[in-house]
Amino acid sequence: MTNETKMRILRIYSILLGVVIVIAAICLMAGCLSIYNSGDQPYSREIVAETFSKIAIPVFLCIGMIVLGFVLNFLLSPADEKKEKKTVSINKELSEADLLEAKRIRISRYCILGVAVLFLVYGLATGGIADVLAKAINICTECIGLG
Amino acid sequence: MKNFLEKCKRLIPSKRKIIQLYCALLFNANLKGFVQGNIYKGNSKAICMPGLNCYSCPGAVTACPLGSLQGSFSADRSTLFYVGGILLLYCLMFGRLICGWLCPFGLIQELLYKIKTPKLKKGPITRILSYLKYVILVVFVFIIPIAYAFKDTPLPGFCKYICPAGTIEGGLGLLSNAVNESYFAMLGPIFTWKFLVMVSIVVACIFAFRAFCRFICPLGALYGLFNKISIFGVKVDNSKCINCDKCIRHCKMDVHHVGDQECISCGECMDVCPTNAIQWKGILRKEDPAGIPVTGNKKMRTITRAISTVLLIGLLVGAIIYYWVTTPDYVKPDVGSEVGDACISYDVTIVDETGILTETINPTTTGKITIINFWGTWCGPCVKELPYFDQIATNYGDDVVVLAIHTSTVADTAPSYIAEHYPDSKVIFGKDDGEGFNGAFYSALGGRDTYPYTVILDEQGVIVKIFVNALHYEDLEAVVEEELKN
Repeated sequence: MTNETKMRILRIYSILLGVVIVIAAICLMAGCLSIYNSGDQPYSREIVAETFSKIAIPVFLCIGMIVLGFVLNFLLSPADEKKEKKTVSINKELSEADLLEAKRIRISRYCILGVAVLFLVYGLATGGIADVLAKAINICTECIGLG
Repeated sequence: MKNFLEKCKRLIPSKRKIIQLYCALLFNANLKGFVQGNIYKGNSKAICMPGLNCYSCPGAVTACPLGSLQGSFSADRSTLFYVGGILLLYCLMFGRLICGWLCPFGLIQELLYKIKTPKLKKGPITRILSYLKYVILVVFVFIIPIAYAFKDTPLPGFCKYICPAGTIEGGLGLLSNAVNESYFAMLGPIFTWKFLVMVSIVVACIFAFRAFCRFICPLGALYGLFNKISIFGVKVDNSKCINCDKCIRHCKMDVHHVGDQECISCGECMDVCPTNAIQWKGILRKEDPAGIPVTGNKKMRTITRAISTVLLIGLLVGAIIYYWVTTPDYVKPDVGSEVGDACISYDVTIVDETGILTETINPTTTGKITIINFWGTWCGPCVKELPYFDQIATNYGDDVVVLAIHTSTVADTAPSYIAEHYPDSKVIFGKDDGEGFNGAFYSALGGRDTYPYTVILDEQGVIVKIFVNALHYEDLEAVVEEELKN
């Protein structure tokens, strides 16, 4: 099998995998939405179990395809040959596009810094830090799988 | 001898590995927590550290940014601004440099990758999978917590269903200590799922370089969006780059070009660049007319490095000693904390929808079966089980008193919560006025940092049941029926 064929197989498989992941994501979101809309007690064991049993197939299919993808990648092991790129000489001058990009990056940094500082100051001034502390000093049983 | 020295040289960790290990130790400096089997409760936990490190880890001395972000959606608006501001600062300053140099979980993955097995090379499959983390970021970190925040139910989607750091550091870290034997009662389908996810990720990391970072980590996805504009990191000097792509071929991450959203700024591509076009951002350097960096006075550099090393080691050792000395030893209450003990007499301040009242109630003198539930508005399992306590109080009101005591921290959120959700409830809501983060009554009844915590007393005030896990109506009904028969 030539390297090109291997790459083609992997590209087709990766597109299929992408589609399956998107379908699984949609099913997962639909399932969560149905639990969310199920009334006053959204956490009822029966509702959650029923919903997850419905979406189990696309989710496990997705997981199975990911594992299969890894196996395929390992078995085929194509050499990742990029097309011959034209090399250019070094010490060339920076283009106008590069200079414009650098300017845009500088402006973005200042804007984000301003927003971050504003957020932080407002959050600290209005006591946001207390909520973070309250959650962090107690064991989040949900987060560690115990709740 | 020469071969032996060469082998020893190969074992010396790289600078980046040393920094990763240093950060892992610094952010988990509460070594006493591992010994005692509980978590740190000091003020440094209000600060979010940049990498993925569960704050339920016994050693953690700071908060996890991802957990804090998810929690902030159901907390006060000010929390979201605080956490958002910190995250934006980290994104702007470092981008994914955090993944490559500061994240403890990144270190764990790189160590796992060192295990000698056949390795999975990157390819089209891994490139597609690298977009999965953006899906996880949007769905589990934003959509799920925000959606449930509208229902006043805190639900950290990523932490609850996926995060392996929580399972390894928090779950296994706490369960491995014999003192926390009671936590085993909490194990259920969620733990089974998370354990499977953790094992899958650990196995994947052995075969694929940083599998979690590349395919799953939403924090890396968030930082990666700012990689291009981050102040520190790697960049390519376009005036020197000859487009040979050696850097991309050498890189183990799924980069399209150096410094893009997949780049973790590890700097390993610098060694293979033939024209020294790859440089560190945010570092001023002098170059000679030929473009070669000028290194400066060697003696000064050595002295500076030595002083910095001593100071950093001092900081780490100081932190470990500080946290060891200042963390109070856990002292188990002599009586009143186990089944069969008489509950201590304690006056709990009553809270209702109008606010905190002056009346109190003593759980040991009600003359009825008393269900004492310790909860918090920030705690998802607590909030989800409250309706069941409300039901029990309604159905068995003649024989049972249900007392729901809010944690003393952020207790002022309770009245508005009660007014909105339980305006006419038969449940008596209370507040623990005692000292300490959790309250004196909670600690006296043997509570150890976990919420919800439920203690059931009989008519004489003797403890008949203690639950450390979230309950359903059937669990409560079974206990009440049993006590009524007795």
